[in-house]
Amino acid sequence: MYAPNRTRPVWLIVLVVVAILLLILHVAGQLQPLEDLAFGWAQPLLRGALGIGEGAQAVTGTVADINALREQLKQLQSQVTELGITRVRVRELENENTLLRQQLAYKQTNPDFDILGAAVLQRNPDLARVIGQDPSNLARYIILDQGSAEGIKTGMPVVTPQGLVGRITATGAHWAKALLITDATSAVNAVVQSTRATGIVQGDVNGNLTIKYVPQGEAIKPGDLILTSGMGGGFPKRLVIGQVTAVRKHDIELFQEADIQASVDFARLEFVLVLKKFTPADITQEPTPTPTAAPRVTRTPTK
Amino acid sequence: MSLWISIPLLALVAIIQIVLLPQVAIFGYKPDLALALVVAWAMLAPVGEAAVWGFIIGIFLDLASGLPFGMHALALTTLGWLIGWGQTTFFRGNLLAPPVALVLATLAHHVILLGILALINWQIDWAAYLLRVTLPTALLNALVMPALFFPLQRVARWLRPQMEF
Repeated sequence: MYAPNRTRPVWLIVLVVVAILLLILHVAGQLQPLEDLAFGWAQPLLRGALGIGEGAQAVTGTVADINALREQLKQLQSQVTELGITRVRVRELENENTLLRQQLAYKQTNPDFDILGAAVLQRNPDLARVIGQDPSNLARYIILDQGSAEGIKTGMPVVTPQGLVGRITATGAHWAKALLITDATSAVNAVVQSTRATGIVQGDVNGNLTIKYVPQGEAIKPGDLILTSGMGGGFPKRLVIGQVTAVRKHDIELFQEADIQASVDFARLEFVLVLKKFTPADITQEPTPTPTAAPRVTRTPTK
Repeated sequence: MSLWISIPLLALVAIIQIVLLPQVAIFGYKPDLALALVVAWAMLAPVGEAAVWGFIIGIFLDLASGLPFGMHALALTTLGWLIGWGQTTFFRGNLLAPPVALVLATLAHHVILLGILALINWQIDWAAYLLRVTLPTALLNALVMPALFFPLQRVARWLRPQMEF
């Protein structure tokens, strides 16, 4: 099983040294022009492969009945998604209405106070196409076909109409990489819609979501919707993250936690929206926020 | 194999890894086709050739990865080299050798990647990664290895008919 012709060890050492050098340059932030150049060449190939993949998927469903059923399923899924979004909107409006009534009552009893109105999100989304995913099972990133030339910057939130996807961690001229909220290094300040209890949504190594650091006294139950709280300024508030599927509560612990079913299907991401502008949540307007704990994972990707 | 042939081949495999395999992930796990290719070629080609393949395909993967650039290139070059050396000693002529080698290579690959991340101050939950990511990935890789190894073995025989495989 072996062959006599061997590559000279010196070349192998050179390759290892080059790889280490690239790693050091990347960590030092000096590799951007080279990555831009390489991505410029690679992007048409990635787009082409994506087209082939989609074509292959279409070919596999050649039987007419299956196609018809698939179409119906798609329509029903779309309706379910729309209804879900409507439900979230209605509940948010109800909550907002209650909050505004409380604020009005508060203002009427305190006429000398100057109270600010509710923050309105100013979204200026750009539709970006997902052209690939991280090749390793160790990390959860997506590659987008828009970059700094289109106004995308590191830290911008990435969403779909179904909910929060992640945030931009690296940009090139016409590409960007986004860390998914399901990655083990991701942490998002969140709020339970029904009770307004706050917590932190973290991903794990398997890509599951958990809301942690919810105080024991707060009511949280399966079916509750989890939204971004907007605290910390990294994300706008009220973006849907997912729905509680199971709650873990132990009397001896200070906090409770719950498993979340993400509202976004991360395996089927095709198009996403990058929020280039939004008004950060004003925490002074939040109704009795419970204190948030520091996230377990504090590391920040270097890109 | 000439670089004029191997570079497009490796680019194609990298594109499949980045674009197509995430769409067919099983329980969220996708097989590591690039690693499987490097390991298979390390067991069939002259010592060191798979290390060159590892470097090239590693660079392609680094472009798409959110992890620091150069990590995949470094890990795959090292593994291509080590397994290329090991095949002359441990793996010769054993049918179980390819999947077993790939299981070990997957473990080594993840340990190298996580080790580099730990070196640059990322906090790594080693037990969670190794048990819940590395182990399933290694088993999935071992399942796909025969589908890759035996066709490659035919290619290697065709390229070097004088060789014993």
